Amino acid sequence: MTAIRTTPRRAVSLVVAFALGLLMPGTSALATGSAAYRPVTSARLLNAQHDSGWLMYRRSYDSRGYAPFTQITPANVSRLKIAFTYKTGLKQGHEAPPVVNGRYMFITTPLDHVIALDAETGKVLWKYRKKLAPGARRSVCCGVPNRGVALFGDDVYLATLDNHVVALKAVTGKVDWDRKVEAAGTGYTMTLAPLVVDGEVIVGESGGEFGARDFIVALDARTGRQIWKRYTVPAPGQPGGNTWPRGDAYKHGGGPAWLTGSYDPETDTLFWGVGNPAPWLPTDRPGRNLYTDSVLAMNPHTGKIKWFYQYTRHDAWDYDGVNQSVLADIDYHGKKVKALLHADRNGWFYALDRVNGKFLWARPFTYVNTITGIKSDGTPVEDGSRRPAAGKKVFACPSPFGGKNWWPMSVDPKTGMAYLPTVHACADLEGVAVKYKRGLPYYGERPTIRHQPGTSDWGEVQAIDINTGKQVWSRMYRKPWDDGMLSTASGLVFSGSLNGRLYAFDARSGKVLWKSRKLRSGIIGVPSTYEVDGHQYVAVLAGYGGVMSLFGQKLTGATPKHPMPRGGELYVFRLP
Amino acid sequence: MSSGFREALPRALLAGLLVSVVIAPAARSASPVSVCVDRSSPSAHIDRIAARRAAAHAGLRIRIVRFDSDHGLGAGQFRKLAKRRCDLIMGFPVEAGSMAVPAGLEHTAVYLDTGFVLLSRKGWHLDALPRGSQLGVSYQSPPDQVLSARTHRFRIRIFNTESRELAALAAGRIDAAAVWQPTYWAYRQRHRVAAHWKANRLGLPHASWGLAALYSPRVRTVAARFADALEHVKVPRPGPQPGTDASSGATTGRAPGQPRLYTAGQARAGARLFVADCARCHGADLQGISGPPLKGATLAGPDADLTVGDIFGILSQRMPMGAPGSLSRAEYTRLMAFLLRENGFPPGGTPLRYTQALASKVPLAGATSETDVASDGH
Repeated sequence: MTAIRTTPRRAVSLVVAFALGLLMPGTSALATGSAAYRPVTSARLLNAQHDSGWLMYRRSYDSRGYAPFTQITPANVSRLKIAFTYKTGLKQGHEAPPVVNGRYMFITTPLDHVIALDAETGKVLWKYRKKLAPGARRSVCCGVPNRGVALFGDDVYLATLDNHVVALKAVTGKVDWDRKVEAAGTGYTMTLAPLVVDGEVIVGESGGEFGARDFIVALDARTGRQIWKRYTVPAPGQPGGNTWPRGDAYKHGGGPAWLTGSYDPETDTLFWGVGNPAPWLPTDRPGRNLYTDSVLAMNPHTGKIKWFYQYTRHDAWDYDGVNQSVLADIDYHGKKVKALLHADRNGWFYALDRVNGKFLWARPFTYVNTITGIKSDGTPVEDGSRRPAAGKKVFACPSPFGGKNWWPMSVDPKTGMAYLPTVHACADLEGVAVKYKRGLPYYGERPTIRHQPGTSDWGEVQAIDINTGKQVWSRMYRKPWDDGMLSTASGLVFSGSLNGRLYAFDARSGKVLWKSRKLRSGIIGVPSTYEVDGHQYVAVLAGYGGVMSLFGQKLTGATPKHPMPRGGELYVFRLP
Repeated sequence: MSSGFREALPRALLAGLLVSVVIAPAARSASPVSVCVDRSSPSAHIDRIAARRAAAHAGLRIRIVRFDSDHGLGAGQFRKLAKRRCDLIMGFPVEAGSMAVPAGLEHTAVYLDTGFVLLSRKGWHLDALPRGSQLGVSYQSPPDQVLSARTHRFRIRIFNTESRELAALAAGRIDAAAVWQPTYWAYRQRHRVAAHWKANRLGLPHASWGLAALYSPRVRTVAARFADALEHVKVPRPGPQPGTDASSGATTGRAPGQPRLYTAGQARAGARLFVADCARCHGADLQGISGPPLKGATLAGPDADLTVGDIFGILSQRMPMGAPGSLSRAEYTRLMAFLLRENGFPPGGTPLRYTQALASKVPLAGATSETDVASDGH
């Protein structure tokens, strides 16, 4: 720094060198004065449900999105006030939950920026922006989102659109390691929040709309070294390989693993959802097309598959089976069963025995005309006339958006209910000839979204009894309900609307107890909650975009003259 | 600082100041927001345009104040400027991934993605520089700090200033030069020799930067309005037109002999359609929003290996995403003409036809790599 000040030199070099100087170890003014960072151990992750923070994507390994906090209650929720806000400066869809450890909050934005803030004051501690490889955005289907970070030790982990996993030091934001798991722009992208289990950072690839052959990969959290990699589409000769036709179809078979998995420490099992086969048009890939539209139960240390259950066989409708597996115990024929609960894009709500994968029951949670029943052994029954083929158009319900898209449901063990963000839409699906080209869209179908028979509403928030699958309460909305759900022990359910308001519902009745003022943009970011210094906070990112902004303009009522407001902003609420 | 390049800046600056003088009287009643532009910075011109467009968008009255960092500025001077003379300071480089600024000051979002580029006649990438070739860097710039710490198969020549470095490249004394991209842009305005250079992203740590405006927390309210507006305005990048004498009017960096696949009229009509039907997802500047960029590396990068037919297939069969196939054949063809123009293809006398576009095996790669540098920002 002194050399720079005493030696006249070309101005811009000086400015740049000056800014570079700030990056050098020991000179960062931004990171000083922050609270001590408490390392995130495996023990803390196992106990994350009871942590004061929000340590992972869905708070705890069971993916319930449920917090034990009781300071904000049905009686006082209407007094919630904004504690702080932060504008991200980006216009695309903001889909991440704020992740909190102690006083450190980490948010991610579209295009893979990470921002660390003080969880009490909102002071920005550091920012990291992944410089994406050229062409990385060629293979994005549904915007350029990122769904948040994972924490372990002193590091923060990010999965990127150009298929890197990046470990950042939590206190400074400096890169600890950066590992490429796949080439950029070749059909693969990553948008999910990683999951850390036993010192492994586990991520899955997206690419079901680009003919990628997707996989789940585990890296050593300290070094980034690969520990295992599991293709979700088996090769010929591997178990399940015969569910694909001979030839190269499996190489472009999709099976994206684009949402964060769950983990059951009791049985030491990792659960990961696998998405749709590619292309959407099923004609050229006869067979069940394993393990697309399935849940995989895996050994988390080896990636070996213990069992799987396929929700949709030989999918023709983009019933991307990736939605989260919630681990909860249910009453089943008078017995308590360790269940896996799942609300699928295909419109069915499933309960499986998570120990052995046995199908328990399933019930539709929206109007379905494609998979018309499910036998007691778990085999789906289809209406064969609902399959599109080249030149053939069908009316299929749900639409490729699914009865529920990726936005996670929440399960409250006290009420015994699952809270579902629901989309009511059907589609005319027209098959068209398609050929594979690396990095380009690979669909073979053209969807035109239609109303579901019997309703002009596109969205619903509903509660489902996790012991029976029956609906307990419902609130219908004009726009699709496209936000994650958060439930708390005080009997509240939080979720945001595309109109830009954060809602608090009464968990038992569904009554709307509070709505925030209209925030800067529609909310598609998953809400989280945490406690600092005796205050409970509820945090959410507003920032409309993503899949709905591309395919679903009609559902949101936006027009070129009246577009949906854009712009990412973090809102953090607490009681006065 | 003895080259013509140095003298060029004040003239460009003067033009900007004249405009700000015209604006000033209207702003006299309420005190206008003072926006400082570093006249020594090669991005001064862009900084001024960005400031004016942001101000217009936000409905803010601004006064552009010039300052000169030619003798160097430390954190203290920036703080002093922000305290005394400037509500906002344009053109501050923040590094992608760090965004560090002087303590006590804050910054807006990046309004221009830039950084260090590798210039050479042959269009080399760093890892393709031939053994024994000479690469220029300027003293203590990030490329110098990163490269000089290691040994390479090429040789590093360190220059005291970037203008000397560029003069050496122009004279053929070095084979390639790592320079700050806005310096290259400014140089190219004055030196025709630079039309023969190709610029590539410099694939090194600390090579990717953005320009943002600095401000002090005391003006946060005004700064927030300004920052908001900066996100919404289009900041011009000196496009890939090294041949300023090219008469076609198209932004072509292609060598003559490239196929002429469409007419200028088709592309103009396509541009209008693009605004109506595509810009919402791909951005008015084609740099991508929720949809991918349609310019540069994404479409026309060599690794993309895409043909006109590949892209036209996606365009005509899948777009717009909410209503695929809803435009007429002629409209899709016009949009393709516009995309070709924006990716460096020259117009010709024969219009592009729908079936011909679908079947076309003409590779999209080869547009100047200058656009690639910009293609993956936001």
